[in-house]
Amino acid sequence: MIALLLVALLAFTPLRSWLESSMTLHMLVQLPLLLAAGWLLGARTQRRQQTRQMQQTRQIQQMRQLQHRLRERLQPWNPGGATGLLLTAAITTTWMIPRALDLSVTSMPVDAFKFASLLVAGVVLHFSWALAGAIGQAFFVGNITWMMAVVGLLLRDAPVRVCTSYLTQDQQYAGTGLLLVATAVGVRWFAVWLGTPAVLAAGATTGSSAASAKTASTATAASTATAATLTASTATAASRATAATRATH
Amino acid sequence: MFAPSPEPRGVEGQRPEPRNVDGSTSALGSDEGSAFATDGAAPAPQRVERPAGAVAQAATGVMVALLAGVALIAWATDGFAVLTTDAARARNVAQTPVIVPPVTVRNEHGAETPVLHDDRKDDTAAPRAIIVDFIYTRCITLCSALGGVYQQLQREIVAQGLESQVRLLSISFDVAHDSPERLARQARLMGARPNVWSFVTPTSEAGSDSLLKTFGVQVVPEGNGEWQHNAALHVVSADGLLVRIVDISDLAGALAIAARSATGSATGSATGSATGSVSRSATGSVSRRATSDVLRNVSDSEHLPTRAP
Repeated sequence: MIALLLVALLAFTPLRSWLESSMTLHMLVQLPLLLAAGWLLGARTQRRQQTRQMQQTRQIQQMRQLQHRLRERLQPWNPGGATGLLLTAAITTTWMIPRALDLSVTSMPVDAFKFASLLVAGVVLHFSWALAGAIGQAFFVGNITWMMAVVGLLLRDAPVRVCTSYLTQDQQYAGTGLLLVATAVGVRWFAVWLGTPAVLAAGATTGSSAASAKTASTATAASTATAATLTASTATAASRATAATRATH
Repeated sequence: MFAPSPEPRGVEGQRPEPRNVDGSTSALGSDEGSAFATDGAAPAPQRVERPAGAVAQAATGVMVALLAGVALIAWATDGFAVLTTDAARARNVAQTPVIVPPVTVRNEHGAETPVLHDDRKDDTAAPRAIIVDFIYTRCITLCSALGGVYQQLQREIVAQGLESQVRLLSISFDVAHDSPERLARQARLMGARPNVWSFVTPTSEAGSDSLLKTFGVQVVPEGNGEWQHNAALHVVSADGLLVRIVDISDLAGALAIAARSATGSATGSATGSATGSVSRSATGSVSRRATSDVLRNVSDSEHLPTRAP
């Protein structure tokens, strides 16, 4: 339900043109939100929600059933989540290509396609994530974060505008943001991978001498720090971009 | 993930137990051959019956995803050729020249003419090729750089004695602000020679938009009345076709292409086989043969424009 609301909000309100008016907001807010909406659409019914199922409308129940059946049907085609993760990687990579981003701003059909493809990517990502196992997940996360970091570096260092729709300054913010998100996602995933409960416990007790625990706690700390910086920088970039847009009028 | 030591494979398929523990159990599923180990989450045991079919199905799924991914990226990059809109535009123009619309403009002397009108005394001379750029006179960043490039181009044209074949044209997209006086001042500042380098402003916003669209220039407002826009050297043949978009660092290349597309009749052998990729002219002055000559001349040089980094 939240997911549908989010999609409607992103697609059919002035939010869409506002987010697409800045490269930073476009790449670091709109695209991730679409992916997240897809992920939520594909998410399994939570146990907590199941108890409340009495109160849910028939439509929502039907949607859940449909989603469940889709997951079942697709699974044989999705060995170890490979199909889904490949597709998700390809889709996210595509929307990091400057030309594709430009096209989505200038062409309505391409923008619709962007929305649809990222939602699909989110759904199949959820369908595939648990199937993939640690190796598959590591491969996927490594691939995506690496791609994001490289694109981020390129955007920061490019002497010219790579997107004809956006300003140079905006491009540099977007590059920095991508780099930070890539780092945050990578570090966070690594921290989780190291063994969630143990790591958290070790992180809480300071002065633990075990080597693995130390690595883990640093990783967690770093991830928190990066996330904080990221939020701050995205916020400033966004406000600056908005200020620039406002000054134009 | 190394922690849960592998159980004998195949057992897993029969047991209803292995629910979605987390990634660790289904990591086994990434081994080839164990197609039914993939159902980490679903309780359905009916797929166990046909392992061969299951493997084929799984392989098909992965292949389809792979193909779809490649197709998607091929679409976005114009067949793995370009990454940016500018590069795509340059590539398209190099393959299929574009007719420049006869938009009405006002030049630095205040005269209203079609945009590609050659304002020189000698009307009987052969038409010249044009290197076009887009500017606005209040610009202090990119346009000054472009101005420098154009000054250099002008020097080259004079030095090589190409004045009768190639000229320079700066089109302003600041319709509201760039009056003939502003243009004349700009020409003076830049040291433009009247017979080589002229300045014009479209008389209407619509005309300006039409030109920007044709040349593939996108203007983004920056605030404080400033704009950012993509800069390039646009080579327009003597026949009024945009034949090539060249990077602003490639002066020699732009000049060479312009000089070649100036004199379509230089290659005397008229083959008569029109390419037909340009079928119609807005002004009616483009003959098929001339067009094909231009195309042939242009394609003598290297095929693809320099790619943007």
